[in-house]
Amino acid sequence: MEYNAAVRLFDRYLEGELTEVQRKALEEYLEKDEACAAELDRYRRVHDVVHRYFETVRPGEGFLEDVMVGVEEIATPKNKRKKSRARTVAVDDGGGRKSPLLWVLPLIVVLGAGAWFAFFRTAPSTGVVLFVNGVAERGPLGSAKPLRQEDSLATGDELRADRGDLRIQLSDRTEITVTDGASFRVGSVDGAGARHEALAGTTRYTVFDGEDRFAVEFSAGRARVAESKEGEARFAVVVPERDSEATSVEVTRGAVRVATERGDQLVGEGMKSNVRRGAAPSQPVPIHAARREPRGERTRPDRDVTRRTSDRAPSPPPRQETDPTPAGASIDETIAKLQDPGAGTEAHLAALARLDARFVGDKADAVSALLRDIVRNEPDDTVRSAAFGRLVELAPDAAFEDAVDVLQNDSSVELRKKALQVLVSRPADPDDDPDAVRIVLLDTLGQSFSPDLVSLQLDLLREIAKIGNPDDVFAVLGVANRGDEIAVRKAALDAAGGFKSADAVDGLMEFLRDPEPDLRGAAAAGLRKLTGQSMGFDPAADEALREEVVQKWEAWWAENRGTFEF
Amino acid sequence: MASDRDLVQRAASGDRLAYRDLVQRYQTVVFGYAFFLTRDLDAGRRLAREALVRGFAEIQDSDRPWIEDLLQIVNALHRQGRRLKSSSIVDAGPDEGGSGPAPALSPALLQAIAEELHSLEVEERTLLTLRHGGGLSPEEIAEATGEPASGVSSQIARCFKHLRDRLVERAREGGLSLGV
Repeated sequence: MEYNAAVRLFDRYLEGELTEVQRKALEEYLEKDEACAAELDRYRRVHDVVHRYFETVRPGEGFLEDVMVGVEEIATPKNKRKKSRARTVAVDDGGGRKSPLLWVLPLIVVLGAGAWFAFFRTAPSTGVVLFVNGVAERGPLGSAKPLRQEDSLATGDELRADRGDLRIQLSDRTEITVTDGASFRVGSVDGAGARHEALAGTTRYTVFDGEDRFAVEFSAGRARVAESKEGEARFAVVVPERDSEATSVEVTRGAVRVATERGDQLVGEGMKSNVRRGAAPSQPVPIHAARREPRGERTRPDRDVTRRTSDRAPSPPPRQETDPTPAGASIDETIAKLQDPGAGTEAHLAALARLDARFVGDKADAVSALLRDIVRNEPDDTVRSAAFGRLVELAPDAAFEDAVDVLQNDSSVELRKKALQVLVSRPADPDDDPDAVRIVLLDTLGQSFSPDLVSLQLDLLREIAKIGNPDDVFAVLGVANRGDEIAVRKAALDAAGGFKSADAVDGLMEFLRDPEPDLRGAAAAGLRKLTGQSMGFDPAADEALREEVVQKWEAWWAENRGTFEF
Repeated sequence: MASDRDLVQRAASGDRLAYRDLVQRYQTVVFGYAFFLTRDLDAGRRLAREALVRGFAEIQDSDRPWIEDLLQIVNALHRQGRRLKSSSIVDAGPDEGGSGPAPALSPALLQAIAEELHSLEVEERTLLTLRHGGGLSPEEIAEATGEPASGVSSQIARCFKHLRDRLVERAREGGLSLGV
């Protein structure tokens, strides 16, 4: 046993939860290590205090019943609504038997704006039917007409589906309201759409079906299911990605599936937000036939998803490492080289170097898909890095998503840092959410960082400070408070000094008493930068002297906080 | 004993008894958390009750730990200023709802610990509440929060160290006899 392992057992030891063997081992160790025994003694005192604290702070005997009274109050009307809905949505299931649609249908509704560019600009509709599997119709009951694939949807349409799936895509800023679990009303949320709210960097669409609520957040072109309903596959979202592609998120029995589709072909899929994309298949791959594979298996040499389902000729035998792509090679030959896992790093790098926009020509989509696949699956970081650089150049519109994905998920620190630079240096687009990058950076900063990612963490802090949104100082100070590396905590304090806000001063002042001199120094430097005051604080001075200055600081700030101008 | 997931599934379909079991399991945690935010026994109790009632209205069957959703509701309500008052626990009047036995700690010490717990990171605070407020084992905490079980004990040890550092600092400043 070693010191840290012993400390980890303290809590269970004091709670009497260790096994006999563990307890004896710990006690034997404590006899040998006086420092650890002393630590246990200190631990025990805090443990005792916390224990007694929680003994005191209890909700009391009547609390549970009190809560349940409130639950009953809201549950009663809820159940009435449920029964009412079951009656109103009953439909003929073909056998003369009435049954609630909600039970009959695994209903998948695809919302969003995937077809916006391809469709909305050429047709004045709010959406389109992607496909119908089963029976779907439009119009009031009794005079409804069948709904078919590629039908346009308009504001005010009422749709119903039975025995299968109805998938639709809606243009951006359109809402869909599930009125009774079976019918959908399409409406615009332009103006005062009650169910649409623009949050910072996030657009939230909410779908109601009487009592159930689904909310889906769109952030920087990506979709995240924020809330979902249990059970059946019921809900999906499409967000705009490219002219002919759409990314959908489906909630299916608690699992979230993300898929990138082109028409009815699946070109990539994954779980949660890890969208895995492949090259456009030469043969259509029906959605239901596509295999789901986990992301990140970079040892898998096969990059082309078409090889999973097509009967292509086997790859040519591996070439020598010294056989780079000839300068006169065509785009097809260059693509073939990149698809050949045996071609070697040098050949791959040479092929990637040739992929400028002019050379790629009308193969841009296929090449972009291939580059994405290389970024995700190529074992060699040099090749992945080069592919990522090319991808950003060739598909700048899609680069944002790719960069976010790399920044948050890639295994290479260097590539993640490169993605960060791509994000922060991308030219401003008036159509973009101005907070999109900021939110991605904050989201990334909130991840867990292993020690080998310290340099990325430092870069993130710097970039967040450069953006300088006052709200972000809490996230930055949160890093300074965490038990991360001192260098990171210090960088967080340095960054906090860049936020011109009273909250930053509040947070930095707390660190003047930090046990770490480096952190005290960083806090003092930040305060000086923000307020122009130093109070003569010396982070290396003895504690009594420091305390005297800190109190001076606090008194000054209490007097000036309300009126201080940064 | 039914798992959290089972209870959440049943509660999401309207089963109030299942929800009652959930409340019973986590009431101390939710109350402890609400108390951290309000630092007032009565206000904490009201906030916790409101959050738990709303929790039933919003409960969803998902993979996310239910307790996380609920603590978010507590946070949201607290931010909205739905609590009726927030005052020092030292000044709090008698607890009409029967908030447990008489304080075993002095009011000043109780106040100090509440404040120091409040100043911990949210994750640390939640962890300590689950462990010592809710009496959950590290494995149960892992299940409730979705964290790997292997890390929970280390995190608890770290929380205690942070808390101790803060209490020691406070004792130096204010002359409180914390015995830590």
